[in-house]
Amino acid sequence: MNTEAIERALRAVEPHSRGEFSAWDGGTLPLVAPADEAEAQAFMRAADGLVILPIGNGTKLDWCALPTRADLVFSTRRLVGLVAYEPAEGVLVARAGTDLAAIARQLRPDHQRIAPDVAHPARCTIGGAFAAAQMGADRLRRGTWRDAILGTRVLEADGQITQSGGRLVKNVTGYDLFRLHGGAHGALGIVLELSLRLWPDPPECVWLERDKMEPGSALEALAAAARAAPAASRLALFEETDGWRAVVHIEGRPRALAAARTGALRALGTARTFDGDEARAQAASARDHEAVVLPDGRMRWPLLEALGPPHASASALAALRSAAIACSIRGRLIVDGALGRCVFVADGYPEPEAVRAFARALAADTILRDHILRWRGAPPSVRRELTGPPPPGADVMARLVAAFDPAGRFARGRLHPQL
Amino acid sequence: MSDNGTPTSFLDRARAERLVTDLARIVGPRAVVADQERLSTYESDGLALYRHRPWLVVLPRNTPEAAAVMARLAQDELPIVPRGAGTGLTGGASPVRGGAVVSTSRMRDLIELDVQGRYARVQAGLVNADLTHACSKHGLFFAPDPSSQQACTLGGNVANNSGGPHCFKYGSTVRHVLGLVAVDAKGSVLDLGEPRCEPAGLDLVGALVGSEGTLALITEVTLRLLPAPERVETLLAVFGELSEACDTVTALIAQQLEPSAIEILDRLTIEAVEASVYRAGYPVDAGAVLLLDVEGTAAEVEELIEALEEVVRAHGGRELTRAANAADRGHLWAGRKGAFGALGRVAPDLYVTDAVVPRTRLAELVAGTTAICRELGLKLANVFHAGDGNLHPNICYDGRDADEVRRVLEAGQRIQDLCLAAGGSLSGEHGLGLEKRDGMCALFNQSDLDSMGRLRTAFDPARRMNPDKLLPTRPCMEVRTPRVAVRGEVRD
Repeated sequence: MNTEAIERALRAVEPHSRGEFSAWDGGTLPLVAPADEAEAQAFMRAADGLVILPIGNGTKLDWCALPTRADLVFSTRRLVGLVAYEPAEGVLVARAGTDLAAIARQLRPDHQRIAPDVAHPARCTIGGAFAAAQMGADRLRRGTWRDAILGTRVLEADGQITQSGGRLVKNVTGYDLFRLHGGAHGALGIVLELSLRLWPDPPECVWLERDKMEPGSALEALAAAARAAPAASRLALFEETDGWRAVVHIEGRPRALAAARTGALRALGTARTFDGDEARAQAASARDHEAVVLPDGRMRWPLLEALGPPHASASALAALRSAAIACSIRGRLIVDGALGRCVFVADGYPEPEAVRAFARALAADTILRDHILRWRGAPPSVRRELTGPPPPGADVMARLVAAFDPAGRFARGRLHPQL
Repeated sequence: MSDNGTPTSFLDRARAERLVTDLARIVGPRAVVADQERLSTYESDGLALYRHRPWLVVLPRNTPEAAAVMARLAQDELPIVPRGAGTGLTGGASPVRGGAVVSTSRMRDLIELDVQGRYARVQAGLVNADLTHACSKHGLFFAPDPSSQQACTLGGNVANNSGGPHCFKYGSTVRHVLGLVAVDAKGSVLDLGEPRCEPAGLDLVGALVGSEGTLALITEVTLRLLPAPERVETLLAVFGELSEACDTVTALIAQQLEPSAIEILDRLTIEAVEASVYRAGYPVDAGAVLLLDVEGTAAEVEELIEALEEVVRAHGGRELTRAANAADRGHLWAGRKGAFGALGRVAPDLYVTDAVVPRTRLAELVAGTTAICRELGLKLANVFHAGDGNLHPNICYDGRDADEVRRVLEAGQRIQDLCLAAGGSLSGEHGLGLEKRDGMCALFNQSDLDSMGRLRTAFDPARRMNPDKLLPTRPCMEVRTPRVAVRGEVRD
């Protein structure tokens, strides 16, 4: 590692913009957290020849393979605040380091909200959640980042700041480069600012839950609830020590909500009901249930997220449960059946060998081998082994990475060892 | 008309004949068009102001044929212009450098309809309305519904990220594309066809949607289908003034009311529609009407309609009627969808502009466009997707009158400048094509455009895919377009 070059890069930013980052291997990396775009650009120019790992608050580093090399960490966490917010337009422009809870607080008085509604929003920057394409608990109703993002400003590898998209809810002007940065984990550039469409915050909501259910009948009940409440925000199944808990979250205007609630209750049978703020608290708690905040402030994410066709959810759930038992991995499942999403939350970090066995079992399973498997909370030592074959279009992706970052300024190997 | 539609523009006669023979071997002789008379059909898309004749047109039947065609064209390094139904309105399918047009119009299969999984895999040349027709019997529909949906192809919709009235609620095409298959300029197939809500790696699908055929030829698309709502009501609000209708829309947005479609038609459009076969029963003495669709459960619909009624009345709406039945709804919407055709009664030609503006400034900017056309002595008809701030000032003119054509183009430029200065953008759904390409310099600086160029080069290093479209062909400093202020200052 070129210590002199790193020192030179660090001198390009103010002393209070420097820090230290605890890396995955127990060591540390120098960190810069510029306070504004000018400082960010100055750093990029001074860090010529060094490899930079872009992060927000660094909560989702476990979602990727380990980088092949990283000399410095660039955090957007001090680039905070709203650049533009016009409630009547339903559009927001925020700096990338702004945490999602802070944004939600600013929008609440205007009955607006931001989506996706991601887990632990106070710990996640908007830029980081976007760069990781983090799914929200309200995905069923409000979709993904692709449905929300309208434009970005990005610090590119050559130190230039570029923009694409804009601040309008409908716009097809130019290439939508901003979409490429969603889920790119900073491979093409560092997102400094994002514009997003906002969603109305429905005036009322209800949370219904029924526990001690069998998974098959619970999934059928949730499917019936979906028909009764087509605009439901979440229909999910949580594995608990004494069975499965089915939950339904519905938001809306008073009379429409009342009708949907009646239909959903009929589908679930007897259910506990929470309204208003209590319902919101239940929904937030269930949303945050997926990840654990560790004593050192880091996050431990579910070991695995499996995405497949919704109609295969029951089979996928059974296959995951059985593979986990066979490999002696303890944990619990969360199933968003309507989305075809199964999440396995392990108790702690399983032993590497158990994770390897788990991966082998899943690869051999006839149902799960066609699912997209995303390892989120695996021990660092096995993460690279779990990446699987290159994604479709990997050669085009490699050309894109080379086009946007020809000198390899941003850490590579994170999306896939070949990228 | 350009003279580049001759074989010698690209190849000598022997090579040209060899190329036609080889292509005919791939797709069959009838699927290669090389005679001048038939080629004239492909000189322009819906924007007839720009005419360029291709040297040849090839119509592959499927992805393997398309790949073989593209690989053969690559051998002779011909420019390639992908084309769907040719309904685009910005010259995007105009073969400005001649070369080969690769048309998807023989690729019309519905490959798979998965009712349980709520998606369809289609060939790119399938017509938009045919998909919804095919899935409606299963209680499903495809949301993007451009006015040209009876003719436009789904591949074209994807290439332009098309919209339509109901995109107010459901979003433009990009929100409904789960996957696609594309063929690049060298003939390599990029298979991203598996239905995925989220990308694996970089979001190549998201980048290809709206790329206007400049990255690759899209041959198949996997599209999300939505369950038909339990209930749909169509409302017609009548206003004395166009500005009242615009202010009503601004208020609806501010109050977060969410009909599925909010469309405005002004007096000239109403008159044209009512005098045409699309007659819908719009009141001809109105200054404007607002056409609204409200969808959802019965309770949602009734609750929302009550709220809408209040806003309409508060902003001068003199009447709010509800379509009595499905046939009535059909008539009201046929009038809206047929409006562009009906405007043919006003003048022989129609210049359809497309701009997006902040929704809080609708009335002011519609008034501005009206003033520009009045000053230039042009007939303006407004029919637009008001809920999205997507203006369509339509100028009715006679293309045989050279001076009128000049004034039309001047009006188009001034309307664009007006919208950009108000924080608007060049296009909401039609794309940039040839017409608005240089306008990019008014919105983006050279670094932004260079960055977009990197995307293009990564897909197509030789830049043979739909050349001269979407991005300016010269540096912005050489393009005489005034820069608009961003954040209160002009960025360079």
